[in-house]
Amino acid sequence: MKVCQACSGLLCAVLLILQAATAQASEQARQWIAAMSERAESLDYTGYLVYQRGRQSSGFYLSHWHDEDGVELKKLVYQDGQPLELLEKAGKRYCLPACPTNSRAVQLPLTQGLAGESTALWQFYQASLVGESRVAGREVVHARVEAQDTDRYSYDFYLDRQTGLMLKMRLLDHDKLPLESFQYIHIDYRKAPAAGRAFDPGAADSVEVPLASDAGQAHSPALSPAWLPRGFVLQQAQRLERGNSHYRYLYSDGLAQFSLFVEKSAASPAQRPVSDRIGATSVVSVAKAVAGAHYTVTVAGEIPLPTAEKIALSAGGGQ
Amino acid sequence: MNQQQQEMLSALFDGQTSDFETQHLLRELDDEGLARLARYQLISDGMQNRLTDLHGRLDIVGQVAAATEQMPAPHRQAAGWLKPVLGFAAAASLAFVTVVGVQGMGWSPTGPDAFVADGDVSASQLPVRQEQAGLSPVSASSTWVEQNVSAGQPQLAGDRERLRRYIQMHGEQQAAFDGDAGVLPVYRTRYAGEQQ
Repeated sequence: MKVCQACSGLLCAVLLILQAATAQASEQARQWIAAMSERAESLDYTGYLVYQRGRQSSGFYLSHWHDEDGVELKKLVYQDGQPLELLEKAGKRYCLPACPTNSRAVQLPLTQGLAGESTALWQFYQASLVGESRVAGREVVHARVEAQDTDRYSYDFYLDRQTGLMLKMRLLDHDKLPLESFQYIHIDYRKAPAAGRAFDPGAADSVEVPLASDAGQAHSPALSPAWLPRGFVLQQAQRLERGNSHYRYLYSDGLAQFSLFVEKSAASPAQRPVSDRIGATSVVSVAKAVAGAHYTVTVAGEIPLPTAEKIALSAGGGQ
Repeated sequence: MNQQQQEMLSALFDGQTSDFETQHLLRELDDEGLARLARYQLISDGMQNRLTDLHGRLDIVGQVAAATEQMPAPHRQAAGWLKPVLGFAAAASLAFVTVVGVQGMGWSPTGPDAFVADGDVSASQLPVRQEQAGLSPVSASSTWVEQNVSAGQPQLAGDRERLRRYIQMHGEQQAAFDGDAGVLPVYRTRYAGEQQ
């Protein structure tokens, strides 16, 4: 009897220790991830990276540094496909040989999404430390941000043990198989001049980088989804340039994002529902008739396809 | 009801629509669509010699002849998710009474995987889709490049372009948003905009 009581007590103690250790590891993972966001902005670094989505992959050169006045500069050089260099400084974009008509601001990997103490985020994701590894020849800490439901994906982050910079990221499906990945193959923390062609603002095409305020205030969509995954809130509303009755809306849970496009048609659009997925990006488009008006509703984002379908079907009422 | 919608209805009847398409079709079905669905079933039952006493009491035989005359088979593409309308024999096992049930109860006539699509679809009811078994008529693979679009399938090419544009616009919106997910949207935009 006494032996049983002793065993029971020992078991409870072990469970308590394990629980405390798990909580501590989760807190440590959150701290690593929060620091990652800040380091991406504050550090100077250059590196070559590979981005993979599904079966597609491409190489990039990324340089991030501050000039003598402390102004932040970012440069991105495409290593394959059509030659293109993008440089941003003080809210302006410079491109070589020319900016694509649809070019937008270059932001550093996952910098804002996980910045600060976002307690809401951790209602939908669980952070944990998986272990240690090596990426781009450097020691890294492997942290996992695991989705707590099937309406979003999970993430693996590999953070430089010395600097905290994210050197690798994987977006995982529910079976923990990678759908999309981002990985440095070389990183240099010295303040080096950006690689690629010499930067000459006078010769380069220059455009203003659109700021968030350009997009206007977030307002409810004309065809609000009756169902949204937990935690996703409207972040931005924007009128499409091609028509007054075409809008797009950006929703986020603090990490994952999807866009909702609502386009009003004069007549019933002759289209069947279509959907697809590239890597982690799902896209669903359906025609809707609401109160005698015809719309095309499209959901595109880094969410599972069934989730995107459910959102699209619920637009304009009903689930 | 335009030709596209008629084709979709035929595909629904043939059991050629995915769960997602079935949900969408049943949500958007109006009286004309319901009547058309019922006529499809009527013709099918007549061709399969499945007309019953119930059909007789409803003068179904006469209706079959009338419906057959009035309802030439919609012209549909033979490839992809659409099959000829007279190929709906596979779906003809459904009884006429079932069609009545569809009209009254919102049932999906697509077989054992069907579920009620009227405002009560939970996440657990939606089948978890594997990438290689995508519901889309556009592509069943993870990349655009592997989708072969022949000259006989202009709608598929159009759909593909349309979806590609949306993915590109999504990446643009992410990159333009101040709290965005980073440089990844730039890469996604590039991929979506490339000819592959």
